[in-house]
Amino acid sequence: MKAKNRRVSRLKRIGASGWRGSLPWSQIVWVIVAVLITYLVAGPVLMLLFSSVRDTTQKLPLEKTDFTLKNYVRVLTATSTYKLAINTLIYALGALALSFSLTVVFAWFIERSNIPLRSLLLMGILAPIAFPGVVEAMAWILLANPSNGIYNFLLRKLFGWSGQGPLNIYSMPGMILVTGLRLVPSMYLMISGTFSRLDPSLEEASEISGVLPRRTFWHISMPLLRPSLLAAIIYYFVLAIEIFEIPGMLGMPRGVFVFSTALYNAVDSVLGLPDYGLACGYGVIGFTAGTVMIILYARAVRRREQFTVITGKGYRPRLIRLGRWRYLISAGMLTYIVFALVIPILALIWASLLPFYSVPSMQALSQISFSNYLRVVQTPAIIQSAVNTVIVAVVTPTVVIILATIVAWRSVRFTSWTSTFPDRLSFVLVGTPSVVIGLALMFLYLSVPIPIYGTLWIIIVAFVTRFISFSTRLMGAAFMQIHRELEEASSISGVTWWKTMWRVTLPLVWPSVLRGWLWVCVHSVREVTLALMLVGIGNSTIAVRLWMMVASSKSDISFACALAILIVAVLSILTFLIGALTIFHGEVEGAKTVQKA
Amino acid sequence: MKKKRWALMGICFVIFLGTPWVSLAADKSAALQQLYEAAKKEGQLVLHDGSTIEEITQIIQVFEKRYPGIKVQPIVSPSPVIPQRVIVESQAGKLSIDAIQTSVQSFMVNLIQRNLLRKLDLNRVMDVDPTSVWGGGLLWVLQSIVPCFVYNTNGVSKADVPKTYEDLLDPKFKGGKIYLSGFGMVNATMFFTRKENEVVDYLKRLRSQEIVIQKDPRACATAVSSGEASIGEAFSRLVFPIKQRGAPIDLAPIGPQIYIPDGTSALTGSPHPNAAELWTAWRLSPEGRDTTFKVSGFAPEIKCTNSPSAQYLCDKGIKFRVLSTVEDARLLGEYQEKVRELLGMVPGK
Repeated sequence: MKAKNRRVSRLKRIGASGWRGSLPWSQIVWVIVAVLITYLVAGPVLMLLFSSVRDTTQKLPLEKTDFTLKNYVRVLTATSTYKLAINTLIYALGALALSFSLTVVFAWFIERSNIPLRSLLLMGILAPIAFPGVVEAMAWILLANPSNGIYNFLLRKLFGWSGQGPLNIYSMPGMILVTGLRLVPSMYLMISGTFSRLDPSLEEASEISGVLPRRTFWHISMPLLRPSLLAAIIYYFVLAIEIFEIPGMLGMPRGVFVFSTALYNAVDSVLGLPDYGLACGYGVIGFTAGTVMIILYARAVRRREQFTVITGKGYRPRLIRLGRWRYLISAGMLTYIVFALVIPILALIWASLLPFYSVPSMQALSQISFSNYLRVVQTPAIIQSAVNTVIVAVVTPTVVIILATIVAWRSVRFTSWTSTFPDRLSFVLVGTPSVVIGLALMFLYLSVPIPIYGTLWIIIVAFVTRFISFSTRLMGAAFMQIHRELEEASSISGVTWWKTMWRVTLPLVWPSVLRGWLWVCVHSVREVTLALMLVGIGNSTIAVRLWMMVASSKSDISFACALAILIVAVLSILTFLIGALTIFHGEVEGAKTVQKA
Repeated sequence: MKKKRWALMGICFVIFLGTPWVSLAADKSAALQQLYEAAKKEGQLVLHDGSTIEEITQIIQVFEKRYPGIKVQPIVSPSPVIPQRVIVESQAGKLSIDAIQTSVQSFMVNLIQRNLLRKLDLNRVMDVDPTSVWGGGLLWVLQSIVPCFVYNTNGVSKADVPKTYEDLLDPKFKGGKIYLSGFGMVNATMFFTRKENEVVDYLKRLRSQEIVIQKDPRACATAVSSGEASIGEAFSRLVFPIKQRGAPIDLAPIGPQIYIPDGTSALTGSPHPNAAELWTAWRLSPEGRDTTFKVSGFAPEIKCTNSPSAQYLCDKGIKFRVLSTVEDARLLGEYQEKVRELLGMVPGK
């Protein structure tokens, strides 16, 4: 009787709010995770704020120098700042609009319709995630630079035009196009899971009532997708403000500057020490934008229940039948893949086979060889960098996804500030420049008695810090779609919290876990700025090796293209495998559901 | 008999004159051996170098064969990152690097001002060519940086090749045909040789040519050799190898240009000071210079006969303004900043 009373009391404590007050060691895990996130994020943020009020004219922030507000005065009173702000808004909003509209269309058709070649289309859309930003910009320069870009060369031949152009990739539209295309695969990974989990019964009910499909989409489906889409819009808007490689290679040459390139100018000084004070002044603007976005996001999704689509009632995912239109839609998506992926790769391959780049011609064709590839694989340091990269690319996403899952789940399930604070904190780093994070970590680990400076571990710590924000958005959106009643039902039946998570919750968010892992893995391979700041003896990654070759090699673009193609090939295979696993998992779960029905 | 006496006296005189040199050479040899023993006890050398990883690895292999027992660990990264790292590590008392590649540019001034570059007296261990010493031993010169203009030989006819800075203002080079690097180096030279207001006026007119800015001179040279640009900025030592590979690129005889000594410096407070000194001495030795030249093709371009690249500059008739003092380095930075502002390389300017 006493045992039964104790059991009833425990179940009452668990109750409808979940399992707060259940196993205390799950609370301990939460505290550890929260402290870890705070530790990872606080350092760079404090460094950013501290540096922004230091006089860093030929000084570093932690050297003997004065506190000052002149960096803010410079940033806020210069007319150039407002021009930068306008340029940045145009660039970020333009890229976001392009990538968002493409991604929603692709996600809708691939995840929810019966278009043919779904697997191939998914692979083609995700594959560009493997391209480092530098490589992507290089490819588009080869294709559309006004002098001898391949597209311009062909257009001038076709129409008999002379001079330069007509296309000019060194422009704002060029930057928007390349960035927009670049964001599509990442954004797809973030939102596609929520498309696949939509319960079709709501849409069926709407159709049965005679509502047109377009209205059903806008009034039924889109509101349910709102948290995931909002998360993507907010995250990628802030990210677009921080992206450097593409505005750096396509905008700076013609004097089109945005915040990230202005910041780069301040820190990549060829004239002595970087002006970190000014850079952090710009960085605080990005950080502020990120903070504002968090507040907006939190307000938009505060009523979580309205976004749940997976409840205790069963549901069967249903593919929408498109009829004959499916072939046309499939052809359209294939055209996109050819334009965004195949042609840029071919341009890079062409460049990599030549001793020095020139437009396609019979004379150039006679000079083709694999000598650049041979040089790449014969370099011993490349092998070590490849091993380092594999370690980083496996450990980083694993750690990130575990942390992000716990943080996001807690933030979605509980409303107290102690539960949501780590999630919100992880997001502020989106607007913090990578170079500031790198510098903060350098200062930190030279000062504290944790001997990871100069080792691979500091690279892993840096990357976890950098990528935690994406993963918490991704997992938060995934958890928001799952009603708490599933977990409550399990818990009330006496199942422990760990088993509930393992047997009930995680299988439902598994596609998001896989996608998040893949995203972090690929970005860990291609991240350059952070790794370059922290490079030591024997801890360089393959992307840093590529950068060193591009920056210091006597060879021209061709040699860098050879290494780039090899990196892209490996990452593409990885993307293909994970993507196939995701589709396979989805199809197996779908088949199981159909079988049970 | 008299003749024999004179001959004997002559021989004694020669021996008398030569003995100090011989003993000096013996002293230097002994000092070098002592230095090696001390470096071997340290067992390691960490150095930064701006060469490619393949090149520095080959150079290190020859050094390690010559001086076994000293393991050399290279860090290859861009030069501007290194001063920050050295300063930060030095302040924390955890300097991990022993020697760095550096050149007479403004980032070197930051290290000199903080007494982070160590003066080496290599005369005690070897015979030193005076042109190899800079700043009294702060920098030991292994090669040089000479910014110059290059042109695409397919796109620019012989008659149109620019020969002066003013030729670049010709309308035929307008509209994205001139690629300059964000370093602002090649035009900074003009501040050393002309009046400031003349240079400012020239740069404003050059900006109206709709120049294209690239990250660095190597990117400009790539653009010229690929045909994307007609004229570009480059470092002379990089042009000759590209040209030898068949690229349609050549030096434009626009001068004078600044001559920037580039080489290696030892750091104050480094963990392996003797190894750093031995490394520097070896790089300056005939074996070290030969190795550098065979691997990279680089040598100081101050003498025409030092390398094919140096001869190439001489053949083009390009004159130098050598940066020989710390003040020159500081001024270079100042002039580069002015060039960057005037040519629109700085946001909002």
